[in-house]
Amino acid sequence: MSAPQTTPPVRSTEEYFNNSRLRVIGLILAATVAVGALGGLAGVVFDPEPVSKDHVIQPGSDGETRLQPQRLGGPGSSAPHRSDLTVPYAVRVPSVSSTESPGTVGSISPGTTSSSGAATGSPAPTPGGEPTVPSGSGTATIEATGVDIYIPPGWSIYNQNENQVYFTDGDGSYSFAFSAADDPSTTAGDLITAALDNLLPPELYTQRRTSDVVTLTPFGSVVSIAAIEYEALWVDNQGSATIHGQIYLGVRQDGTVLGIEIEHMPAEEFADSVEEMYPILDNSFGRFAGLS
Amino acid sequence: MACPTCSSVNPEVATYCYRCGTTLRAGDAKRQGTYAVQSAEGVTQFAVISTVMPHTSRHSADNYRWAMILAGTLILATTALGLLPIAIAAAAFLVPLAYLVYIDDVNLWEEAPTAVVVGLFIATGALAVLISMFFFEWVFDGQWASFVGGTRARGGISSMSFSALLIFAVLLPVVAEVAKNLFAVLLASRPEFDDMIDGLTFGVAAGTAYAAFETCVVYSSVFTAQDFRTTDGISTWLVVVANVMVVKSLIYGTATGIAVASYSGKGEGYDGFTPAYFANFGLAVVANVAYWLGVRLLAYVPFGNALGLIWGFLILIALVIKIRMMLQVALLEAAVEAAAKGDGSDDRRSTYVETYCPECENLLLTNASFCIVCGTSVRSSSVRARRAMGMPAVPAGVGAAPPDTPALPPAEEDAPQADGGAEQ
Repeated sequence: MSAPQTTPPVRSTEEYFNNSRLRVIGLILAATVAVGALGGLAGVVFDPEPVSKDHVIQPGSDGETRLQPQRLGGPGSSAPHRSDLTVPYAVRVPSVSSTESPGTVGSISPGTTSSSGAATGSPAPTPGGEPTVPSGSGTATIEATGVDIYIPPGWSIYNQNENQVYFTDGDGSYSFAFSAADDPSTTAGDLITAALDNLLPPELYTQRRTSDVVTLTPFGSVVSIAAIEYEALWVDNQGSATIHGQIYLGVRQDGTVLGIEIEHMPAEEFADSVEEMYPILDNSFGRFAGLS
Repeated sequence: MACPTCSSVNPEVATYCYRCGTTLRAGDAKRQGTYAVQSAEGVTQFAVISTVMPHTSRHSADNYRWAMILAGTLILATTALGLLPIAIAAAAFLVPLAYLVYIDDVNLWEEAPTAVVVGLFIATGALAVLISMFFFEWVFDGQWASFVGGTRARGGISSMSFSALLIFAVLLPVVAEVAKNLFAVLLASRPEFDDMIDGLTFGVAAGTAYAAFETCVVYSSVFTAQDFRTTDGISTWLVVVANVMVVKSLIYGTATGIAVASYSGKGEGYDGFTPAYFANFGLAVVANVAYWLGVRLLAYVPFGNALGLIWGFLILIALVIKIRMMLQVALLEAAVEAAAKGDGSDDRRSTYVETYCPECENLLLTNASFCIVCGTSVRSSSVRARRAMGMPAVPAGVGAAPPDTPALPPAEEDAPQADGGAEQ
């Protein structure tokens, strides 16, 4: 039997590897910093032009009256906050903890206007949030107040309950209407300010920029109406998206409040899609004010 | 002493059989306690680094742990400062970059690592970009928008679109898993990369590359948003960055690693598209689907993103333990089969000369597949260590050994020797 060959012992098992401890740590840290720097560079290079903020309209004017351009504020919210407000309405808008099941109340009425909360035979939202597709334009009635919401042709309701209705065009545009009873002396601007964090929770809608609250001209039975425009970076564990939208809120002389949010993702396409959403505001607020 | 499993004669001092790794001490006959890749750890221990980087030793694995901890802390600090473009990019590529350093460190596949792994990264990354653009931007953007428009702030889970859930939590993971496997399997089918650990390495590399490039697409709005720095929702972003940096990347990597490792198989030559491969491919798909279903559904409850992170972590634990059990069984069974076939002198996966264990620095016997003291498999050693053992760096299947491979020992040397020692 031949003697076994034996390799000389190594001084340390580090000799079995190409890199020392410091080199491994240094390489990984350096590579991480380099890639982070590239990401930072991309964040600067791809910084887009700000989306035009002159989209706030005067509801009831058929979308013809475009208000003065508004400038969105910086990160966070430049809208005046009144955290001391005790507006009952503020607790009725959906909150981040809302996990209500879809109501079976309310309905969508293609081509008709329902004056009550009773179903009119049109398709109701299906459980699980699958949208119902009206053949043409129609209305959805918010049961709590009997307010009718205009649903444009091609849009579908994906969720509805006693106070709210949610609808979409399935192509990135969303609208959310809500209604409740309140004090008629409350101003719409105050309500928007109080409800903003419920409508756009900061933990989901980051980098939130809002315009100042714009006070619009009351019309019909609406005694106070206001709007705000916003842009934000929505995020969850699967991805993120820029969104741009507006919130309109009106108070009727009987104390009924109607709020409508229109929104589009991605933000840079808002200008192209907003014309499609103006009829929601005009028709819904027109009916709310008793003009149609 | 004779091994009860393979009958090889071991030195009396041996704790593990040098040929098949069987425990020669009472109490753990099936060797369920110590991990054959890194004997200081248990088989079912949740240890990420030694699992996805099996060629590291106990000491060198610490290098990566420290590097990952330091880099991860740096990234989370950047996130806390609201510098999202920097944080997302660095988080997306942290694991793939660490993996590239690892492959260079252990000099895997000799001169090939850069070309092989960078090529795999780029090819899989390109597929990831295409698939992500297809799903998130080109075809299903409306369905994706439904998650944005129907968050828990907008009616809760009742506003969720079931079709969107199916597309992004079921269909996308299936398509993505096929893409992750594609180039990794192609490489694993080459004779010079047919070891199960090679398959695992390719799978992890492809999976983490896919995760990195997908992250760049799905979080591209971070780079194009109005603000470079954010002050809102920092807690949410910390969770998201931690998810992208660790959980998502490693779930993708380990799941694909399991599938491609089973393509390679436990012995010499690759097994190919066997039922075992399809079963493990199915497991990888199920893990990804379960992960994304959980993430999507939990997004509708309070603290949903944090709960999604925890859910992903649980899946990662299961995948890591699955890999460890898979490698343990493969290394032991392959060694038993090799021992049954011959004396080991022609086994290209065992030592040719006496040398020293990279793990415990005790003597490794000639023709050994395991250290008799710590039980570590020599197949999990780095290429430099293999060279010191007289093993060809390329494990099997190729005709030409590297030019500096030492001369083979005499074929008639059929019994192990210990401590310079006496034949048993």
